[in-house]
Amino acid sequence: MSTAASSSTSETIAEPGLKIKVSTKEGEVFELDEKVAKMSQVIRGILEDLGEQNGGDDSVLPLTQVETRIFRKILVWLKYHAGHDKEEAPKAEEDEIIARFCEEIPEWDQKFLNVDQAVILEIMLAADYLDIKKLRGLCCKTVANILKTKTVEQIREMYGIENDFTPEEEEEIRKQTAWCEDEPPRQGSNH
Amino acid sequence: MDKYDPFLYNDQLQVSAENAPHWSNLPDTLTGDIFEQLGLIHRLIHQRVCRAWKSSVNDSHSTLLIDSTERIRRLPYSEDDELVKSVVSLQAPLRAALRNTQALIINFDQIKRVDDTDTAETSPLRRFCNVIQMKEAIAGGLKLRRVILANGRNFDYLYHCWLRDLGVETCECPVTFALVQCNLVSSKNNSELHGKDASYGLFPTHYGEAMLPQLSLASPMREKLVRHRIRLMDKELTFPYPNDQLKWLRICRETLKSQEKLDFGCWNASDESFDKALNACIDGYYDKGTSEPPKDLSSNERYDYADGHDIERFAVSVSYIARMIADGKLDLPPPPHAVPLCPTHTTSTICTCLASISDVYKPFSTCKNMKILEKPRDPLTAEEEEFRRNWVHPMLQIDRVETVEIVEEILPD
Repeated sequence: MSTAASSSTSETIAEPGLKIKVSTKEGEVFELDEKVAKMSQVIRGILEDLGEQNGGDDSVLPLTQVETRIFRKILVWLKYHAGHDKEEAPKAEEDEIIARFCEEIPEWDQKFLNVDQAVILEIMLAADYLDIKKLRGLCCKTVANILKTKTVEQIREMYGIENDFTPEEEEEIRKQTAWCEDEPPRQGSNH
Repeated sequence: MDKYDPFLYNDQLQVSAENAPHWSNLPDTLTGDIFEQLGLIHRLIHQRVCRAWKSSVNDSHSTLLIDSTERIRRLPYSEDDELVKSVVSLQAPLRAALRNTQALIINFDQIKRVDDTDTAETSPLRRFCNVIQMKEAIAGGLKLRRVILANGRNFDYLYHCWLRDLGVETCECPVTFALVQCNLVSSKNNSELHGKDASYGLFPTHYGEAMLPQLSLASPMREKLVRHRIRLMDKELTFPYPNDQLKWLRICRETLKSQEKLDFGCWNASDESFDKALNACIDGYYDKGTSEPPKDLSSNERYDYADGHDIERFAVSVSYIARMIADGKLDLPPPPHAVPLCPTHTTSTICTCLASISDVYKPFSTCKNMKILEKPRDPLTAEEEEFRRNWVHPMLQIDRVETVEIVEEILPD
């Protein structure tokens, strides 16, 4: 079991706290600063269950659903946001809604998620598993933004989705939604 | 290696086709959130992907996003028979999607009016109305209880059309449903409007909390009045002093009137209209009404009727009175709050110079009317020129010191 110690993590955080060890699906161990680790609500929950006094010992938290290459990538995101995000007071419901839907993806995060479609899904799944709400939301928004630029046929191809409609059913849907398409529907086309 | 490089480790992220996650691997919670972010219009378009995607339209979450309004914007305007029919058919899928929706977000971000010559200008109205949260009474028959208009630069007409097309109609009075008890939330681009805590103006001083008086009415407003009041917010000027300065102004006017010294243009209004405008400013908004001025008015009187200028006129008046008192030409109580006076423009009482001297007058820096007023009415004599060069009002000196201190606080380096 190798140790990918994140020695640079301590530079990210102004006040280095406890070091938390986690292991990936392949068994590779990463050592994270407490602040970075606790950005994952799953890790935070485990630490709270274990009692924080045990956080500094040699116990390793297994993250069995996350591959090393994805976790290493996510770690970059965690470190960046641990070092750059300001402490935010809990938002009111309406502010939360506005932030979720109306705020654009920050430039750094756009670059971070400028990866292959499949990788975005993997990062999103890992963020979901680790319960990193912000990253999860960014991934969802990114995927949605990508989908907006694709045709139905491109989406099917991109994600390997089978068209399970009959031609008649599909044509009926096409007619129903013609008003919201850019171009008028092409009769009988199944492109 | 830059530890904050967003592209770091991208070279290690290759995924083989057989190991790539499939859409069907995504849990419903994730696909639900993606569909939510996708927005209603794209969800309707993309429901042709497969049956599962189609069902997502009807299984809407409590929050629904509509952010492709430009696609159907033309429809309410169109006279084309076929398109008009499409408008009618639009209600069914929208209604279906709205059935379980409690909060609707309409994002007008992508709308661009061809005939709008003012699109390049970022007006306060546009900044301010980027996000509008409607709190209650939007759609009585549905569960919908909240509508958020994002980037609603054209909302006044489109908003009405949209809600009508959505089948969200609760009241026969146009737009009455729209702005009742709503709360305006300033947008992220609105930061420059903050920091005016010492002033009393149209803009909220606390992000996301302030209730605008003109839009938080207990009773419905007619559409025309709503639009008028929104237009009045499209002013960079706010009255730059607390309320007691306005009350002092009223006392000054009454005194001057009793002394028959009311000989300067904009103060010659009737008591009723002066008090109405003053009260409106004190209450936090100015409502001049929507009527056109009579055609036989002189230019000065037209200025009195000018839409939305009262805040500006009051600021000028305060400066005028303060200068006259400072020069010993009026025997009136001094203003409760110091008024900076410009040593250069001694006849115009207020000028854009003050914007660089005092933060109080910052909004006046781009005010065209101020620039007009800056022009000296008569050529100055040599003596007056000398006076103007050397004259510095004591209050102005104090303001200058305070300004320096503020700058030092902001820029400790």
